[in-house]
Formats: sequence, structure tokens, C-alpha cells
Amino acid sequence: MKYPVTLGVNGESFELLVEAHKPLLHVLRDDLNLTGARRGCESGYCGACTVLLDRQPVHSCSVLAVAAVGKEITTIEGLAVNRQLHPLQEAFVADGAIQCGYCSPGFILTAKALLDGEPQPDSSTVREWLKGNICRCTGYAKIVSAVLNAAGKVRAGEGR
Amino acid sequence: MQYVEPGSLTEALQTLSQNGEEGKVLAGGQSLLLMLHLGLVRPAVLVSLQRLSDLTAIAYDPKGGLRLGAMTTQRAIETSPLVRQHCPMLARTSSLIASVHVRMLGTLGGNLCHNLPGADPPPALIALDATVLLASTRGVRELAIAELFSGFMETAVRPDELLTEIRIPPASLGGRAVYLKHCVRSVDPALVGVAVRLKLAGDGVTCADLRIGVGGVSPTPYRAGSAEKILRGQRLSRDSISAASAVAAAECDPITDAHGSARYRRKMLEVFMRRALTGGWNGDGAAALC
Ligand SMILES: Cc1cc2nc3c(=O)[nH]c(=O)nc-3n(C[C@H](O)[C@H](O)[C@H](O)COP(=O)(O)OP(=O)(O)OC[C@H]3O[C@@H](n4cnc5c(N)ncnc54)[C@H](O)[C@@H]3O)c2cc1C
Ligand code: FES
Ligand code: FES
Repeated sequence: MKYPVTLGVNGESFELLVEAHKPLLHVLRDDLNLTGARRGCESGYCGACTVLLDRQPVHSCSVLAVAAVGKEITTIEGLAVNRQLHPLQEAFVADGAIQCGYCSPGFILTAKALLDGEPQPDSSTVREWLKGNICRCTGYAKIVSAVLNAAGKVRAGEGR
Repeated sequence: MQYVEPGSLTEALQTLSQNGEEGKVLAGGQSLLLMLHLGLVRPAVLVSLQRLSDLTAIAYDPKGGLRLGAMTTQRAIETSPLVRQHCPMLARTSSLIASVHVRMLGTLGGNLCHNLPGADPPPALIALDATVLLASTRGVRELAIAELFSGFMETAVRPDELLTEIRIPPASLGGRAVYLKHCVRSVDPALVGVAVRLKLAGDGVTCADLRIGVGGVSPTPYRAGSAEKILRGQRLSRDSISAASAVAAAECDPITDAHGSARYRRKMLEVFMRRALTGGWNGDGAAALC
């Protein structure tokens, strides 16, 4: 059965007709063309599909679109402001934490939620938060250091 | 498939009662969405509990102990000051589940009702002598936690029932409690999970009381009664703890799968049981954490 829903994504409101069983991931990609949410394992392991739901990281393959009504959804497309990248995005580029980039939106959004709540995490906290994201290219060392460097920049006021 | 979000517990119970086997409860969806995706469940009506904010309460009082609403998320349990203060073992157990992502949405009630082999909360709650409340339009019943797990990924929850609350009695709070999880990748369920709650007698070496919950090594989580019996009322020592662990290993009924063979699981149960009991005895539990 299809339901009319209003989804709040990256500060905008979208009215859609969605089937009850559709995961948020599919609606973001297929109906809203927000392909930064990546389709990976679709079983809650890889984190490629990570989005923020009310500012917390969740796997959008494991959330029904009909259940996301009334929640604030943030995808990677919502991070840059006026074409100015978020400090995390800049750090990922600068530190070589991106290779093929398939996993990057998920890592960056997860890290954003962490830094928003805890601006000075140590590296074990960063690793704990990133456990739900898998990268097949970089190894994790550069990703962790990019997050720590971005945290430093955010604290120093060199970004948001 | 229809999707409904009842606004009250009464409404939710009525919806479930009207739909019988055709209805399915949706909590955090972390397991159910996968089951739907794989076609393993095909409900006609999905009954979401997300508007039932009463079911997210965490409360403590000295007489009633700790009470957790079924919709409390695993993340909320892990970070709750009340749980950390009165039952740190449960907060720690919760923090070992999957990833932050899964814990943000996954609920304690959903975890128990899914009864995934290797799930972490079940052995912890068995050691804590917890009970659960099951509500339906027919009334409310209270079940000892171990009775909830009736078979491989099966529970005693009837199609018209909702698990509403998890209760940990006051006698289980405070004192020594340890949960150890053994897994290869830390986002996986436990190959072996052992929870121990232990009371020492005044002499500091005699085991006055003991409860052991075990997960991952049989079709359902269970209480390791024979191992408890060996130690209850006895002086704790390396030898008595080893003997109890050997009995527990002999009695378990593990499976072989991609994560580990039955033989490996059995061996690891012995090792982790020994570490958990030793940790409960002398506080040296942290060394063995996954
Ligand atoms: C990638 C991944 C890794 C995981 N790793 C672990 C791990 O390491 N340790 C661990 O313990 N678990 C693990 N799990 C399992 C997970 O913790 C639980 O399955 C999840 O928390 C279930 O809770 P939920 O709220 O999402 O339930 P849902 O998925 O919504 O529901 C699960 C089942 O319970 C039923 N149900 C839910 N709530 C109720 C209720 N109140 N009354 C009656 N029936 C109900 C549903 O109908 C459904 O059958 C993992 C899951 C994933 C996806
Ligand atoms: S696609 Fe969602 S976790 Fe892998
Ligand atoms: S950069 Fe390729 S998967 Fe991470």
C-alpha cells in the first residue's frame, strides 16, 4: 500500500507517495536523486547508506521511509554550505582518507554526528563510532586521523 | 502491506488483536527490515511502536528495582546515568552490541523478541534474574526472562502480545556482575557470551549466590544451572572455577557456521566462562573483553 508522506531532507520538505515496505535508502536515491546515500550490503553492516536521522547516524537501508516522517534527515548533499565544504569533507580530501569514495559519505556523516555531540573525541572513541562503516580501500588509519584533524579545526573555529 | 502507527498502547494492542498472525510489530526495525527484505516474514499489517513514548522510560526505585520500557534503545541504555549507576553491567553489555548506528534505533524489546543467536542482552538479563511483561487485550503476564526464549529465533510472545517492560529486581543490582563477549569482528553477535552475577559471603571467598547466563552456544540463550550448582555455597578457587567451566562446556549445544565451528565455540565457552567467573570473584574481568 502507498502512503502520502512528507520527508524533511537537508532542510527541505518533500511530498511523496511511498510504499510501506520501502527503505529510506531507496526513496532518497530513486525518488529524490540523493545518491550520496550508497547502496551496499543492505543488511546493516557496511554503513555505506548512513544518513543522519535527527542528527544521529543510522543505516538508511534499515529504516522505513514511512517511519521517517517528522524527522530531520541529513544526507551528504546537505553538508556543504554555499559550496563551502564541511571541515570533515576538507579533511578527508586533504588527508587522503578518500580513494574510490564509495564509503565516504557514510564515514563523514557518522563522524559529523560524533563531533556535534563530542567535539574532542580521542581516537578510540572515533574508532568506536566508525565501527558501523566499512572501507575497502584506504585502511582506517587515514580516516581516523582525518576525523581527529577536522575536530581540531572545528575547535579552532576554522569551520563550522 | 499496510503500515500503522498507533498513538496509545491500548490502540496498539487492539490492532494486534484484530490482525492476529497477519500483524507484525515494528520496533527499531534493525532486524525486521532485513527479514522483510529477505522475504522471511510477510505481514499484512506492520504495527509500529514508535509513537508509544511511554515505552521508552527508564525508572529506578529501591523497591521495584530497575524498569526499562521495551522501546528503550540500546544506545539509551548504554548512556543512561540510571542504568550506569544501578546496573553498569547492562550498560556495558548494551555498548557491545553491533555499531552505534544499530544501537541508535535498535531497542531492548526488539532485541529480546528477535532472539538472535549470540545476542548480548539475553545472557546478561538471565544473570540479572530479569522478568518481562507481555501485554495483550487479554491482560498482562510476567515471565522470567529465560522462559521468553522458546527455541531457535523463537519466543513465547504470542502474535497479539507486546513486550512492554523489562524488570531487574533490586536483589540483582549492585554487587559483582560481568558480561564477556567473544566475537571475531566487533560488530557481530557473540560467538560466545557469558554473564555472571555473583555474591560473595562475608569471608570473601565463599560463593553465597550465583547466576550464569549463556548465549551463542545453543539454539537459545540459557541459564547454566549445573555450573552454578558446582560453585554455589563453595569456596571459590581456580580449581573450582575450572571445574564449573568444564561442565558448562560439556553441556552446551553449539552450531557450526561461517563465524566458528561448534568445537571452537565449545572451547571458547570454557575459556570465557572461566574468565567471567574469575572476574566476578576478584574483579578482574576487563582483561577478557572483546
Ligand atoms: C548488523 C547487525 C549487527 C548486530 N549485532 C548484534 C550484536 O552484536 N549483539 C546483539 O545483541 N544484537 C545484534 N544485532 C541484533 C540487534 O541488536 C537486534 O536485532 C535489534 O536491536 C532488534 O531491535 P529492533 O528494535 O530493531 O527490533 P525490530 O527489528 O523492529 O524487531 C525485531 C523482532 O522483534 C519483534 N518485536 C520488536 N519489539 C517488540 C515488542 N515490544 N513486542 C513484541 N514483539 C516485538 C518484531 O516483530 C520482530 O520480529 C545486530 C543486528 C544487525 C542488523
Ligand atoms: S547498505 Fe545499509 S548498512 Fe550496508
Ligand atoms: S574509499 Fe573506497 S571503500 Fe572507502
